[in-house]
Amino acid sequence: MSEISNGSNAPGLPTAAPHVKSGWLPQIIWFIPILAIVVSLGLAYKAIVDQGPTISISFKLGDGLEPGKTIVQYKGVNIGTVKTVALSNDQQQVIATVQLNKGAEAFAKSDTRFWIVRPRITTNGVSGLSTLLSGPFIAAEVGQAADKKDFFVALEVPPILTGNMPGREFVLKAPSLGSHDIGTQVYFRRLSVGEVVAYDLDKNGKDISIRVFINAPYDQYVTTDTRFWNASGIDVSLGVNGLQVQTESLVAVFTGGIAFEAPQVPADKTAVKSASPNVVFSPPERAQENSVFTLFQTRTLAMKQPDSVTESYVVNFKQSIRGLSIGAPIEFRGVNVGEVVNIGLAFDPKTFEVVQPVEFYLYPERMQARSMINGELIPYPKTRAEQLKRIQTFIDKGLRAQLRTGSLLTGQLYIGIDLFPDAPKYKFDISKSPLEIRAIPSAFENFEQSVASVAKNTDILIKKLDAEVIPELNKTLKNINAITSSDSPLLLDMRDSLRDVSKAASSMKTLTDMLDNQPQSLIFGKPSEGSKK
Amino acid sequence: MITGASQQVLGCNACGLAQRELPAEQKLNCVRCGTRLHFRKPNSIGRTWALVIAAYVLIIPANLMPVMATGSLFGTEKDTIFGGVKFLWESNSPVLAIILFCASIVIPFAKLISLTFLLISVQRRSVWRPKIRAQLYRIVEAIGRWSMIDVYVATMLTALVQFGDLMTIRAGAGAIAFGSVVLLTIFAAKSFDPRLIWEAEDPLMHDENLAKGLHV
Repeated sequence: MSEISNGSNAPGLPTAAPHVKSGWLPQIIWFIPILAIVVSLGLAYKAIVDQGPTISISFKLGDGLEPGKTIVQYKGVNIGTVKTVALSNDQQQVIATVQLNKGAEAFAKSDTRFWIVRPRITTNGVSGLSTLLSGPFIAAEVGQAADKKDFFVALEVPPILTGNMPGREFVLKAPSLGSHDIGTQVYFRRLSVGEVVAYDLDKNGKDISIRVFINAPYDQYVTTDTRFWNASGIDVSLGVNGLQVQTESLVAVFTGGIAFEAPQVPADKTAVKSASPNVVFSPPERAQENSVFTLFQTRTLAMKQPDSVTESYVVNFKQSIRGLSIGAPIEFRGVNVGEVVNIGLAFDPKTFEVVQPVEFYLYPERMQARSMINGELIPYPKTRAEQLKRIQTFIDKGLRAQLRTGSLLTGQLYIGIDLFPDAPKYKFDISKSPLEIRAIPSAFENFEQSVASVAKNTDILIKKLDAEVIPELNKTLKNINAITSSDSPLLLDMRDSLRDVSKAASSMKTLTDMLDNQPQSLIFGKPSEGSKK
Repeated sequence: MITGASQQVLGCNACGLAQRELPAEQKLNCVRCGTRLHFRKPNSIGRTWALVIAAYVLIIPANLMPVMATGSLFGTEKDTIFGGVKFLWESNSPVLAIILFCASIVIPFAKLISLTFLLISVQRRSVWRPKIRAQLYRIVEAIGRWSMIDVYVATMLTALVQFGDLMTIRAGAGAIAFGSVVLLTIFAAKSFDPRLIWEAEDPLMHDENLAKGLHV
C-alpha cells in the first residue's frame, strides 16, 4: 500500500507497452440482449399467434381430464389442450376450458360435437384402446353451422358417424326395437354396409323409428321397393328339400342385425307390361334420403309380395273353431291366398241358432288369371261389378270354405277354400258386406261322423253276437266233448293204433341193437350160435 | 482508500505483475507476459448491463416454456421448471424439490438481481458498504455455475432415455433459454469488474473524466 501510495514515483516498476486499439468489440456485446429480445419476442409472438379461441365443454364426468395434459383431437390431429377442469356452479357438470390451437377456430361452431374417448368394449367391437395407456382425450367432430359458440355440452356416447361420411340415412318403422341398438350392423347380402345410428319411440307410442345409415356406395342399393328385416337369429325351416338354415353373419346371429334386399322383380314383368299398360313396372328407383321403410320380422315376411288389393269375406261356421286363430292362413288348394282377421260369435234372435262368423281377407292378386290361349296374364278387373261377377261365378262353380287341420300335433286349424261342384247351391248375396262364402263340413268333421257310425255298427254287431253266435258256439263245444269221451269209437281206434306203433318201435330197437353188436350181419347174415364162441 | 488506477499503476490479469502506465499510450500490454492491460475490465459496466438485460429477457421463456418433454406410452408430458419442482414436492421428495427450486429458480433470479444492484451501485458511485458488495460479487461468481444442474439433468436424460415408443425425453425450448440465462449470468459476473466497487472511495477518482477514461 505504501508503495502504491507513492504512485508514479515507484522506482522498480517497468513501463508497459502500448496497444493498437480495436474499437468494435465493446459494441458487439449489445447484440446479445438484442438477440435475446428478438428471440423472446419471436417466441411470444408465436405463442400468441398459435392460440386459437378458448371454449368451454361441459361433461357429465370429468374422469381422466387433466388440465394441461388432456388433448382435443380431430381425426387424430391435436387441435387443442384442456386448460382447466372445474365444476359448474351447480356442481352437476364438469366444465373443461379448452384452448384451441391456431387454425382450429372452425371447431368453435354451434353444432360441433365433443365427446371423451375412453376404452369401450361393445358387441360391435373394441374402440379407444390407445387411451388405456395415454388416458382419455376429447374427440371433436366439426360442425357445419355458420354461427359461433364457445360453450358446448359433450356427448355421453361417441357418435357413430364421424366425418362427413358418404352415405344416406333411412328410417325403419318397427313395432318394437327388438335386439337392435345404436351401432347394430346393417347387412346387404351379408356384407356389413351400415349401422343403426339412432332410434326413437314415435309420438303415438306405437312404433319405433330406427334410423340406419348406409355407407356409400351401398346406399344406392336401397331402392323404393327395398325390404328391411331383422337379421338376428337363425331361421331354420324344414322343407321338401331338407333342413334349411338361414342366417346372416355369425356376428349378426349373436348381436342382432338388420338386413335389406330388394325383392326379385317378377319374372314376367314384361308380360305384365304388354298385357296392361296401366300397370307400369318401372325399374325401382333409388330411395330418397330419410325414406321410411317397414322393418319386417323375418326375411320371408319381408320378401312377401305386398298385397295391395284385399277383399273381405265372412264364413259362418256351425262347429267348434277351436284351433283357428286370427292370422291363420286361407289356402286355396294349398296356396296361401289370405288370412283370418276376425273371429266372432253370432246368433239369430228368432231361431237362436248360433254361428261363428269368421272374417277373412283374400288377396286376389295372389291368384292371377291367365289366358288359356297364350298364357298371358289377364289383369284384375277394375270395377267392383266385374270383381263381384267373377266371385259369383266361382261360388256357382262350388267355391266353399272348410275348416281344416293344419297340424295334428298342435291342433291348429286353417280355412281351406276349394271348388266343391257337388256342394249344395245357395244364393250369393252381393249386397252383403262382407260377402259370405258358405262353409261345408270339413274332412275332419266327416271323419268324426264316420267314427261315430263305426262305433254304432260295432254295437249292433256285439248284440248280434250275443243273440245268435253264442248258442251256436255252445252246441259246437258239446259235440267236441262227445267226440273226446272215453268210450267213443274214435278214442278206441286211436288206442289200438298207438299200441301197434309201440310194438313197431320195440322191434326196431332189437334190430338196431343187433346191428350195433354185429354190423357184419347186414352182409353175412345172422351168425350161428357156435361160431360166435 | 486509494486505487492503483489513480496512481497510474495497473496489474496484469494473467501473471499478476503490477506495472506503471505508459502515459502516451491508451492500450497497454504486460511487459512480462504480453497480456492486454487495463486499469479496469474494458467497458465493464456496459458489457455487464448488456448480458444482464439479455438474461432478464431470456429468463421469461426459460420459466414459461417446457424444459423437458417426456414422451411415453402414457402420452407426452411437458414440464416447465416450476412444474418439475411441483412434481417433486407432490411426490414426497421435498429435499429434491427445494434443491431444484433453489438451483433453478432462486439462484438465477438472485444472481440477476445482485448483478443489477452491483451495477447500479457502481454507476451511482455509491459508497455503501463496499466490503459487503464485494462479498456479494464473490458469491455471485462462485455460485453461478451451480444453476446449470437443471440443464445437465435435461441433457443427460435426453441423451440416455431414448427407448423409442416406450419412453423418450427431449429437451424443450425452455432448457435452451434456461441454459442461456445461466451462461449469460456467468459471463455477466465475469465481465463485471469488482474493482469498480472501490473506485467511489478513492478521492482521486472523483474526476468523472478520469474515471471514464479508466473504464475503456
